[in-house]
Order: sequence, then C-alpha cells, then structure tokens
Amino acid sequence: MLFDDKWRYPWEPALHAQERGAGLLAFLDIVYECLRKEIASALQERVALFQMIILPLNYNVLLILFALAGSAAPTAVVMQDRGPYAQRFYDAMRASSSFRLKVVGSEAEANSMLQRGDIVAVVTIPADFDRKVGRGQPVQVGLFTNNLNTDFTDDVNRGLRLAVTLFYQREFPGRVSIVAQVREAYGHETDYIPYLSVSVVIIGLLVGGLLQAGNAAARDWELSTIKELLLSPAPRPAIVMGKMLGAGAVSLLSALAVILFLVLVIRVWPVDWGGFLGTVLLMSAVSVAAGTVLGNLLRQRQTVTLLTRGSSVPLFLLSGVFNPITYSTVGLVVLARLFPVHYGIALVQWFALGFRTNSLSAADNALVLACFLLVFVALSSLVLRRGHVTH
Amino acid sequence: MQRGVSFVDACLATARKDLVIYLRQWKTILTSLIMPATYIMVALLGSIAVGRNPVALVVQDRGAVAEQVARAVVASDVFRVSRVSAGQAQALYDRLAVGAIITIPPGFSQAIEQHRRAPILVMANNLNLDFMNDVRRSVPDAITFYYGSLPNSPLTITVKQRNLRPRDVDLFQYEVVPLVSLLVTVVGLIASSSGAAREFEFLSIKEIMLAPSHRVAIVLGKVVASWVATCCSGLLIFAVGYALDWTHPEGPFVATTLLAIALVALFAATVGIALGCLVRRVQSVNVLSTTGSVWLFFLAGGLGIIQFEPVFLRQVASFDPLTYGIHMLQMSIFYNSFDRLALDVLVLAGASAVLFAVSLAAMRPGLLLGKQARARGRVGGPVAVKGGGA
Repeated sequence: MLFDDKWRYPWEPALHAQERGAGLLAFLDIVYECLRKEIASALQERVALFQMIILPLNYNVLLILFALAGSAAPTAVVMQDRGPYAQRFYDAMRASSSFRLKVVGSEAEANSMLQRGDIVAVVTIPADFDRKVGRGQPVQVGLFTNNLNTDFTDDVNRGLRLAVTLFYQREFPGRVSIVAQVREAYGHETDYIPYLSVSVVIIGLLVGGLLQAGNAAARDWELSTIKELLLSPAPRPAIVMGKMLGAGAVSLLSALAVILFLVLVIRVWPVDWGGFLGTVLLMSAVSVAAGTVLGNLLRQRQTVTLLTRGSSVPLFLLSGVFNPITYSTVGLVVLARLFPVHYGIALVQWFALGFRTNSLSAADNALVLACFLLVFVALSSLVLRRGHVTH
Repeated sequence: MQRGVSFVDACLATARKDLVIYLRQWKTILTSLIMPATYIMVALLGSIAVGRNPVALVVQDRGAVAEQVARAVVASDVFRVSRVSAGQAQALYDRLAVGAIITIPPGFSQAIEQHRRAPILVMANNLNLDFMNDVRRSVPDAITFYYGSLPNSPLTITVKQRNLRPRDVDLFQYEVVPLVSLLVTVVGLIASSSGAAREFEFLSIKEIMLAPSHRVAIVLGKVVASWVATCCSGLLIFAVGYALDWTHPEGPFVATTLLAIALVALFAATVGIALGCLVRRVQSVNVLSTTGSVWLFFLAGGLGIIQFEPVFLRQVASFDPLTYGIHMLQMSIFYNSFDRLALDVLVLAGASAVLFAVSLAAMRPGLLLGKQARARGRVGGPVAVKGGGA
C-alpha cells in the first residue's frame, strides 16, 4: 500500500461517490443485458414456451372435468302419478342440488336410457303416490342406479333422501320436527370450479418459473456458456439477478394465460386485485428462484423438464387444492407446510375469493413466501460459484 | 438389380432396431412413466378429497333422542366426526381442523317429544359448493336415518333402491382403470413419435427409405416395436394393479382386458408414428405426445364418469378412440361384461388402421426427399451461397 488508508485527498470522497454511482450503473447494465439475453433465448425456444403456457391450462381443464363429473347426477324421473304431491316431490328433488332431472314417459324408456349410459339413475314416482301420502300410508319411490362407483351412487342416494326431508318440511312441517339450520361462514356461494381454478394460478406460476428459469440455467451449462459468464468480470449477483428477472418475465406469460382463463372463462373477479397481483409476482419470484437452483444443480434441460413435470402436480395436489389441507391427515399437513406452494395457494385464495384456507394470516403467508425466496436466491448464488465449473 | 430383403425380415429388423434404441433411452422411459404416476396420485388424493371431510359434533342435550340423532350423524358415514364440547369445536373450526360444527342444542329431545320444531344447528365453512352440498345432504341423511329407525316413522316415503350392476366399485379403484389406458397411451405415443422423429432429425430416414425394402414393412416394424414396448408397460401396471387388487378381472375377462390393453397400445403406437413422421422434431413430438395423450385421456372422461359429463362433452368423447378403450377395460375389469365389445374393438382397430395409412403417406419417398431437398436448398443452396457472390 502506497498511502495510508486514513489519509485522503480532499477531492477523494466526491470521486468515490462518482465511482460508486458508475459501479451501480454498471451493475444495472449487466442485470439488463442478462435479462435481455434470457428473454431473447427463451423466445427462440418456441416448443419450450408452448409447453410452459399449455401445461397449466391442461391442469385447469383436468380439474374442471374432475369437478364437472361430480356436480349433479343426470337422472330420469318417471312420473306415474301427476298429482300435486308427486309434483312437489319432483320440486324437492330439483331443490336438492343433486340431480340434473329429465321427465320421461315410461319406465322402459328410462331404463333404456340408463342402459345406454345417457343417465345414471331412474327415479319412479308410483301411481298411488298422492293417495298414499295424503293418507299417511307407506309409499316407496323407486330408485334404479347405474352403480358405476360407490361415491357417485352414495351421492344419488343422499340426494334423494334430502329430497324426502325437503318434501316433508314443505308439505307436512308438523310431522318432521327435526330440521337442519345451516349458518354459513361466507355470504356467497362459490362453485367448485372457480375454487379449484383460483389455485391453478399457482401451478401456472410454479410450472412457468421452474421450467423457464431451470431450462435457462441448464442451457448455459449444456452449451458451456456458463463458463464465459462466470469468467467475465461481471459480479455474480448481477448475473443471477438478470437471469432470474429474464426468466421471471417470460414465465409470467403462463401466469397471464391462466389469469385470463380465470377471469374471462371461469368469471372470477379477484376481490383484491392489488393483493392478487402481488401474490402472482411473489410466487413467480419464488418459482423462478427455485428453478434457477434446480437448473444449476441438474445442468440438463431434459432432466429439469422431467423433474418439473413430475413434481409440480404432486406438489400442487399435496398443498390443499381441493379443500384446506388441514382437513386432511397430519402427515399431509406437515408435508404441505414444507413447500411454498401451500402458502401461495392460501394467499391467492385470500385475495381472489376472500377465503382463509390455512391458519396463517395473509401477511404471514407472504412473509413465509419471502423467506423461501431469500433462501432460493442465496442457494442460486451459492451453486453458481466459479469453482463449480469443470474444465 | 439386387433383390430386396423379404417383407418379414425388413419388418423384424426395423422393430428390433427401434426396440434397442428405445431401451437405451432411459430418460424417455422415465418421462413417460412419471406422468401417469402423478395422475394416479391425482386420483388417490382426489378420491380422498371427495371422501369424508372432518366435522365437529357438539351434543348439548342429554336426552335419548339427541343421543340417537348423534349416532345417526356418525353412522351416515359422510364425515369424519369428532364429538367434542362447544369450546373445543370452535377452536377446531377456527384453526380449520374441521369444516363444520354440527350442534344438537339443549332441549332438543324435549322439543321432539312435544312435536315442536327442533333444529340441528350447522355452522359450515362454505369455501366451495362441493363441501357445502355434502353438508346439506348429510344432515337430512342423518335425520331420515333416525326417523327410519323408529317403529312408527312419520316419514312414510321410503326409497326402494336397486342397482344396475352386481358389484360396487370404489372411486379410486374406478379411476385407476382409465389411468392404465393413460399410461399405455403416453408410453406408446412417446416411444413411437420420438423414435420416428429421431430418424428424420438424424437423417437416417433417408438411408431407410433408400433401402431395398418395402415401405409398409418399415412402418409396420416401427409400429411393432412401439406396440411391444407399450404393451410391456401396460402389462406391468396391470400386474401391479392385479397384485394390489385395483384391477381384478375374472375368467374370460382377463383375456378381454389384455385385448383392450393391446388395442390401446396399438392405437397409441400408430398415433405416435404418424405424429413423428409428420412433425419430424423430437422435442416437438415429445411435447405434443404428452399434451395430446392427456387431452385424449381427459376427453374420454378419464378422471370422472363420462355419463356425468355435460352432453357436448359426451359427444366429443364419442370421437375419441380412448373412450372405447376405457369402456372396454371397465366392462372387463369391474362388471364382467361383454357390453359393446365389438364396437370398442372395431373403433380402436379402425382408428389404428387409419393412422397407419397416414404414417405410410407421410413416409412417401417423393414427399420425404422433396422436403429434404428443399431443406438443403435453404441451407446450402442458392440462398446460402448468395452472399459468396455465386
């Protein structure tokens, strides 16, 4: 050292300040260049881009079909009696929200529809229904089910029993004194499809982030361009930040596709757009950071794609997509809490539909996600050390 | 002119070569197996999700009727019931450990004995309609169960039920069968499409097409290789399912089950060959294969019951050959039935024949060499040498 650290020329502080400013600009310049390069590379890989966008939409369709199949049983009603009680029993069946009803002329016609697979149940209201109900005599309503599986058969059975109690509550309130008085936690009813679709936004972000950032990082290792990047005099955090921002920007395309699907097709209008978009950005950052770690560890695009495709669906389903995960077993609850997807789903449900689906507040969920982000960013910088590059 | 190799030799040689290459691609095999495995998890978790949710039952009345109704709520088997105090129930509800609190209030038994209105109070976390419908159906279920146990039930209307099929099938078990078809489709599609596309990427297709063997033999050999690989995967999962009692056909229905697997494998193999010959890029066909097989699976009612779907979806499903494969498997495995067997076989075999013809057309030497000549022109032809001043 030529000069003592304590002694400075009077103009030095101003000079250092200028250098610091220039250093910051250079840092931002590197971030910007890495970001630009990532976006340009990603846009050239159209197949990967297509896969990233189409996968979350596939999951959405899967869940919609799953929900549609269980909503209401297509049922034929054979009205052998057209009296007022028979008509009111039919109305009670409609009010039970368990059936898609179709009145048919004869039992033979209904049975052939059942055999063809057009309906799953036949309800026969017998010819003496009104007379016997009016006199308080026992009467049997026929139920012929296509018992494809126990779950759906049970739903049909319970739906019909609900119709029986509804009928008595309306027609003979004195006879059935026990009634169910239901108080609901939320003032609005949410169908199963919107409920599931809101969570699919998180899988869109997860798949987009993991695939995009993971493949981008792995591509640098596969093509050995990582060596040039790390040997350049650019600071490592600037490279990591630029790559992550680039991957994040591209991965938002898949999130955008899912959000558009949610708003335009499913017709969900988030109750808090600010919080919703904040969640999207936070979850995107977490997924991108996780993808960067994955890509730098695996270093092969095919393996990254394989692992992303294999892990995203189980992670998503283990994180409480169908109902709050706390309704499940203790093991699943513990497992779900180990991954950021669970907190992402809780946050997005909170801001999109106003539902609390885990025991944490929105701020706590966001904080946990921010911690995941910090851990993944730190891990990304760690796995990108120069010493890890082989020659 | 040298005599060409025999049809069978060319076919077998192509099949052997494609099988050897396929077996070397362990990552491809793994890719194709991971997706159906995750969908089996979807089915398992889904069946748990639509199964029994947790509720808290609070019985504040000490009368005999209240006790009977409480027992009826438990016996209705819709929920996992925790019988707790009001305070505990509220704590469980607040930390989302239960989805609803069912309360039988004080004075309940007395009200019933005096024929007064006796409400059962239900507080429910109505996050979605599916859960709420379960709650709405379950309490009346318990009420009818209770009244049904009385010697002089006031509910004179009863339900006389009969089933179409002799056997009841669990939801998870029901969903595993279509997943066998998904696995067969994914494996068949990926194996055959990537195998065919690779020939185009590595330009080995040129040598194959210039060989003195019949084009039909080559395409057939490729179909046979994919079919064998796919059938092996299908048989493996069938054996696992059989061992775990998920898929347990009996008597002659073992044969129809195996026939269904073989036909779905044939269909997947021919779709894959056609796709590979038309698209000619490994990465593209891999993405199209996985995405396409999932769509075929969804549209065939893979994760639900096709009869429960809206009419337009059922109409779409009727054009999806996998619908017939799944139907054939379900009839054989669950219901010991030959219902619509001929139609199922005909559709799967017919679709495979059509796709085989498409593959043959896509492999026409004129089309192939013309395309490659055009590709050469783009790379090294006049466009490429223009800069050099030619």
